[in-house]
Amino acid sequence: MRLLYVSDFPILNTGYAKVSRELIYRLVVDGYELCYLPIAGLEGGAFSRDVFGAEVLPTISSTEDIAYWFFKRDCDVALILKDPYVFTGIEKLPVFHVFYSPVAEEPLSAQYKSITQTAMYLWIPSRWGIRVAVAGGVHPDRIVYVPHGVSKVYRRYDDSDVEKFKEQFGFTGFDVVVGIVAVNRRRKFLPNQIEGVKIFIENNPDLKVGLYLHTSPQADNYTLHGGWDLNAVLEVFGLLDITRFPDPYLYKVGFSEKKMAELYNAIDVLVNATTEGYGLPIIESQACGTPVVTVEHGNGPEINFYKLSARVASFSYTFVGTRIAVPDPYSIADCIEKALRVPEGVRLNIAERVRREFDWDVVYKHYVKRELDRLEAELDPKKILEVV
Amino acid sequence: MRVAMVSPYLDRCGVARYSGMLVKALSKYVDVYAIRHHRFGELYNSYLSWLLKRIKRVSPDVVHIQHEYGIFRPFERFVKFLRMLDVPTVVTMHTVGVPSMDSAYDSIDSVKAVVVLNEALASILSRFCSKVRVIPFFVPDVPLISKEEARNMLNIPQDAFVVSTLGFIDYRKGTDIFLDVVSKLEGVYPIIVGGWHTDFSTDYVKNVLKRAGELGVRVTGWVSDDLFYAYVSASDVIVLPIRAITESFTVHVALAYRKLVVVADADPLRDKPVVRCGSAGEMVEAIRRADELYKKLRGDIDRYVAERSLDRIAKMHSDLYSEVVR
Repeated sequence: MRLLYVSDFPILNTGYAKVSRELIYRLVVDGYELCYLPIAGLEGGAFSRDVFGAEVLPTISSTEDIAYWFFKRDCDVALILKDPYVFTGIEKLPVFHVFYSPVAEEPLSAQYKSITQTAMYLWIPSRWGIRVAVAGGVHPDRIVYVPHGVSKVYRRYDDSDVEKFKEQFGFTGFDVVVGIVAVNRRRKFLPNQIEGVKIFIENNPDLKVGLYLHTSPQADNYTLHGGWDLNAVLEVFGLLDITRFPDPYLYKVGFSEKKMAELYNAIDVLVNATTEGYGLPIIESQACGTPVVTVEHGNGPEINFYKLSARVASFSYTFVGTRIAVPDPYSIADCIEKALRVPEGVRLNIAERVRREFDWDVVYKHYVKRELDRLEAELDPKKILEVV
Repeated sequence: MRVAMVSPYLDRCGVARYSGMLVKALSKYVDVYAIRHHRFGELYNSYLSWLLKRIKRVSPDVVHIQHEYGIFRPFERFVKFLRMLDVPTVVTMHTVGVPSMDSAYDSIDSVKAVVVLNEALASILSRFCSKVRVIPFFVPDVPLISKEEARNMLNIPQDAFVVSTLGFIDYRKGTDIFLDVVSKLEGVYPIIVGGWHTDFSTDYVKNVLKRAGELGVRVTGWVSDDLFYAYVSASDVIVLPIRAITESFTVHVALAYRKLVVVADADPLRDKPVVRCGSAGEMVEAIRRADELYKKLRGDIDRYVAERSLDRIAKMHSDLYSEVVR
C-alpha cells in the first residue's frame, strides 16, 4: 500500500513532528511505500529528498496539494497527522484519506466536523476526544482509538546521572524543580500554571523551589495563537530569579529525544494542566519516573497514572464557542505537593507501565498497523470482498 | 472471466450496499475485483487516471460501473472516463432521467450494455439509449432473526404494532409524510430507522427530528446492517412514502422478511407485491387493514422472493458479461 503521509516535517520542534519521527521509519520498515508531504519545515530548503526511506515532497502550499500529490504519486490513501483546521476543503477532494487528529476542545466544532466528514476514518488519540466527537455527531463507526506512544529513550536514569542532568540544566541549589513543557500559546494558560507553582512555593516557604519553563519566553506567533511575554509575567509573580528557560537556539531547533528524557529526569514534577488532545509530555515524563499534574479536562486524566489532576477553575472559549479548561492554581499547588510525596517505588512502577503500554513499537503494532491493515482490506480489489 | 466492478463500496449509500452484496454473490460465477470509487467531490482528471490505473492493474475482461449521477459528477468527465476504457464495459444506472448523460452511451464504443433495475427505468432510458438491459434488483440474503428475537434485542414490546420507515431521513424519502401517517394512527409503535448521508444534518432532518419527538416516534439514527435487519424483522408494517424512487433496497429486505410493505404509488414499485397508495390517507387506511392485505399478498411475496434471489440476479450478470465479451 502506498501512503501519502501529511504532517509536520520530522526535524521540527512540534508534537506532530515527534510522532512522525516514530511513525515514518516504522512504516517504511514495514514495507509501506511512503511519500512525505510536509506541512512545514522545508522553507529553508537544503534538506534531503528522502527521510527514513520516504520520499520527501515539496512543502504543502494548499489543501489541493494533497490531491495533486496523491494522484501524481499514485497513492492508495493519505494519512494526515495534523489538526483538521489546516485542511479546509479536503472534504471536497476525491482522495481516500484518514485524519490522525487530536480533539483538544469541546464540543466538537462545526468546522472540525465539516472538514473531516469525508475521511474514511478519524484516528483520535484519546477516549475523551472520541466521546467529544461522538457527542458532536461523528458516527462511531468512523472513529478509531489510536494513541500516541513514547520512545524507548524515555526511562529513569541512575541517581548519579540525574545529578549531572540537574547541573546541566542549572537546577543545582534547588530542593525541588517544577517543570512545564508547553508551547507559549494562549491555549496553554502558562500564567495560570505558573501561578500554581507560586502558590506551592508560598505554601512551602522552607523549600527552595526552582521553575523550568521549556518554552519560548516570547510568543512565537502572537497574532495567530496568542501567548505571553513570560519574563514580564514572571516578574509580576516574583519568580524570575528562580526560573530557567532552555537555550533559545536549542529550543528553536528542538531538543533531541534523549535531551528531553534527561530533562524529565532532572525535574521533580511536571505540570501539564491544560486541555490536551493527547499530551506527549505527560507520558514521556511518567516514563522517566517523574510525576505529572494534569487538569480534569481533555486527555490528561486518561494518561496520568498518578491521578493528579487539578480542578477546572473555569473554561475559556474559542472564537467559535468551543471551550478549554482554565486550571485552578490552588488545586495545581495541592497536586504538586501530592506528587512530591509519591514514593519512588510507585514512580518506578508507573514508569514501567507507561514504557510497556505506550512503547511506540506496541502502539504501532496494536493500533497503527491494525488500522492500516483495515484500510488495505477496504481498498484492495480482492480483500475488500471479505469486508463489503 | 475477470470483472472489475467500480462502486463506492463501504460508503453509507444504497449503491455501495447493493454493489457489496452483488460482488460477493458474483464471485461464485466470475473472478470479480471490487474497485473502490471515491464518491465525494468532483471527478478530477487526475482522479480518473488514478482510477483507470487501478482498473487496469487487475486486467479485467469486463468493467462494470455502478453509476448514480451524484457519485460520478460532472457527467462530462464521467463520459470522458468511459471513453478512456478499452475493455467491454457495463454500466448500471441506479437512477435515470438526465438526457444529456443518458444519451451519451450510444456514442461510447466501450459501453456494451446499460443495466437498469426495473422496467420503469428501462422505459425512460430507452428513449435516449439503445443499449438498455433490465436486470432486476435482488432480494438480499438476510440474517435469520425472528420478530420476537429482534424485538427483544431492540427493546420493543412484543405486543406492540410496529410501523416503521427505513432509509435516510430525506425529503425524497418522504419521512415527513411518514410522520403525517403515524400521527393519524392510534395504538401503533412508530419507528424511523435512519440517519443522514454525512455527519451533518439538514434543516429538513432537524424538522423531522423535532416533530418525531413531539409525536413520540422512535428515531434510531444511522444503524449498522445488523440493526437495520433487526428493525425490519421487528416491524409489522413497513411504510415507504417515497416521493422519488428508482428502486428500493428496503422494499426488498422487507419482502425477504415477508413483511407487508406500504408504499407511495411510484412506477418502479409496480412490479412488486406491495400496497401502493396515492396519499397519506390511503396509507393510514392500508395500515388499518394490514392483516387482510397481508393475507392477500403473502403468496405473491413468496414467489417474488424466489424469482429475485441474489444468486439468480448474480447469474444474470454473469451471463451478460459473457455476452458482452463475445
